[in-house]
Amino acid sequence: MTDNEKYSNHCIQMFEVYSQYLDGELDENQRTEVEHHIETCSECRACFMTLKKTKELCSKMPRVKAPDDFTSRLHSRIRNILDCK
Amino acid sequence: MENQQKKPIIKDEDSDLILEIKNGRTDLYETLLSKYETRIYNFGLRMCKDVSDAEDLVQETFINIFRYLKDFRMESKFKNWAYKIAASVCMKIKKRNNVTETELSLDDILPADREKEVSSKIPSWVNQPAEALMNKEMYLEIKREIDNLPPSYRIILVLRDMEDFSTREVSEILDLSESNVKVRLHRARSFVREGLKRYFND
Ligand SMILES: [Zn+2]
Repeated sequence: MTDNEKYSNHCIQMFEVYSQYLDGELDENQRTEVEHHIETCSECRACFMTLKKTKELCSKMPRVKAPDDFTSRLHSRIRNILDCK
Repeated sequence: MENQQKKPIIKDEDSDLILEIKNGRTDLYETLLSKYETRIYNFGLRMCKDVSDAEDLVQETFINIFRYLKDFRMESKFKNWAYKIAASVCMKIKKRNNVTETELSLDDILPADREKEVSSKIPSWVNQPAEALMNKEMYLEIKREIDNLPPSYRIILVLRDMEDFSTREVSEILDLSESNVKVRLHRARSFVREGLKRYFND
């Protein structure tokens, strides 16, 4: 049995638009349909909630500072190239 | 072409600086470099598994930015143009490393543990604030999941969810249709979601 067969077609249809829902890219009818589905289908609700958290965690990934020796090498490399022009 | 419509110039936070550089103030390159080096460095770290590849990406990107700035017609935001260059450098590095591109199918991303008792409960990590969950270990876990994505999916997740570009902007940066961006983004997020579920043991 493939994973697909554990799902109803409607669950899969809904699953495919969760990201667009989270990104505010669905029209009102589609939005209502998704909301209704996750209220009534507990598996899909769990899936939707974890997807939402995944998106949030990705967006909270901190930026690191480039090491000073790298940036000073970069700056002098660029300066050299520009001076040669 | 004579009668080709010229697109309007886009005014953004960098336009004045770019115009001055184009008009000969080459000393201002340094300002532009300092403004974007951290962003592009982090884009490199997110796209490359290897730090030295990330450093190559940053260097190549800025060399190309300064090489082609005179041809930049300011018809898009500078930032978007810069990322377009960074994305093409990324492709070059991918080729150099012989990375093979694969597709994520629906079967790869649908939850494997569909049995009710396993997956119908909302796992507890979902209710914790992202700030509380984000620590060194979480950072490395997400980084590992992202590294495991096929590159053409990884770049879309990185640009959309980490570098804050809109669907439309990503489609312009990567020359893809918006619907393609949406499908790939959803598959990429779902792939990472599966990894996080395993990590939290839910
Ligand atoms: Zn369902």
